[in-house]
Amino acid sequence: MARNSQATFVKRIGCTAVLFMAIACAPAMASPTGQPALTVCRPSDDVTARTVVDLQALWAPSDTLLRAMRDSLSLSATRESDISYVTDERTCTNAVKALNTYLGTPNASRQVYVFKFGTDFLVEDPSVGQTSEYRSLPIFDKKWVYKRTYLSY
Amino acid sequence: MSRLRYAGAAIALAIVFGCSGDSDTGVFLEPSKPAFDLPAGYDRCVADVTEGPVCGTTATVSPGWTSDWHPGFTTSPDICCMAFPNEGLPFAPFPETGSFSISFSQGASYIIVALSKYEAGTFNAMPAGGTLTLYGVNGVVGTAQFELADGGSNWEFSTPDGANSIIRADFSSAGGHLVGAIHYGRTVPIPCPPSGDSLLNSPAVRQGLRDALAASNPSSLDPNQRIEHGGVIWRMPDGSYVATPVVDPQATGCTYLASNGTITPPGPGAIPMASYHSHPHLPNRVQTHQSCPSQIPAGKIGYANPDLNGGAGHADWQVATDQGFPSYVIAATGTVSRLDPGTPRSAEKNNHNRWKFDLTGTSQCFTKMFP
Repeated sequence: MARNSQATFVKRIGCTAVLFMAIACAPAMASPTGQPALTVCRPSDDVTARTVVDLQALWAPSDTLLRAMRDSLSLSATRESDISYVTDERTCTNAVKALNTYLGTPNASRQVYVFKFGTDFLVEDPSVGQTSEYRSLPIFDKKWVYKRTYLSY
Repeated sequence: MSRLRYAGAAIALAIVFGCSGDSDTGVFLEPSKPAFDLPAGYDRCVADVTEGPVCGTTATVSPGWTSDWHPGFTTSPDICCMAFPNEGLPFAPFPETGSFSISFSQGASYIIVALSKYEAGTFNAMPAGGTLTLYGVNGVVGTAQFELADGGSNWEFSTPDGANSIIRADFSSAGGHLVGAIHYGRTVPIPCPPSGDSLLNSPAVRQGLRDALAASNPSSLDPNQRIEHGGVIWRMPDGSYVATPVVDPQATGCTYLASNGTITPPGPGAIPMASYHSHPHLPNRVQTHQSCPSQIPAGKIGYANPDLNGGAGHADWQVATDQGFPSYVIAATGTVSRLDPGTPRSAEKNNHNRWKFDLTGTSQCFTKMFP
């Protein structure tokens, strides 16, 4: 009996722990509708990895046309290592606000790619502009003021 | 005689100089540079190769060559490049002897030499009896036997070394002062080296791609004038390929879909093999809402990087998959990319089916960029 009580207790503790973990983890794992909760930052993927490489190539291109483009875009990085993919939610939240201002869509909820290029940010909502071959990545400075738009594949 | 008349009216004193470009002889010439040193008395080469001749593969030997002849010369497909006597115009004393050089990148089969003399304000044909000494790739090949063509001063002869010769000719007039010498070459279609792509081995397909790029105004500084063009490549029942333009009425500088237009087979039994379209952008050219309406909001500007992701955006790759056959993209940066259907998105950037081509127009060949 004691053995059974002990087993039952252990089982209850175990269930409680599982329940606790489930509750604790729920906000990050699932929305009230049962769908995975969306972070504002899109998770990195093949596209982000490739884009970082492409942007790093834009940092110091040997091609004169690409150099001219980089200069026209007023991109700010001073080191190749300053170019990276952003997963910081606060930054992505600011990026969404800036993108909404840029697109004239206040309060639209979005999940975005954000790339850091020195002190600038390139922001992309891949659900925008899908009718063309070019991806649109508006560039914002560190105060989220729009600079230029970078069109990439 | 019409050729002679045009010669006099348009330029009077002209020596067409050699084409430049790839050569099977091992000689490589930069665009707009003569094959040899300019002969004494001639100091400049004025024709922009991109404006006129395609020395190598596209001009064909045909009875209709006179129709290509018109004032200015520079847009005639038969003419390579011109040099003027540096004595100046108009009609300073000119030598009675001189020389010219002309080379053909590929497949020169014969050249036509037109000499004229200026007497009492009139351009007259040179009488027979002048001499031209020809030099082929292996040195002097002797004095050519000429016969007057067209009843005038246009001497027509085959290159002594056959195709791919480099020619130099020394000439002397047989009377009167030499005032003009117009030399131009006719070329025969010599196949480009294999491109590694059966469709791109077709001169008609290559020309169709280049025509699409040209139609999209890649050199325009006005982004609204750079509009993507394209079409469909067909295999005809005889095995040849035909590229037919298809107008997309919704095309912009950033989008083109052949399926938006009216696609008409070029003949019975034609089978669509691929689509194609141009990307007329250079990275340093500004884009606007008008040129890329779905990418750039009104009042904003942008710049496009057109050589990424295997030569095209994912939407273009998706078109190839949706249509079930390849899509070719010809870019203003001088590349052609083949987008194969079913390519995984992660593999798009590793596209090895890409070719370089000569934007200056001196060669019609496409050269594969990767093994």
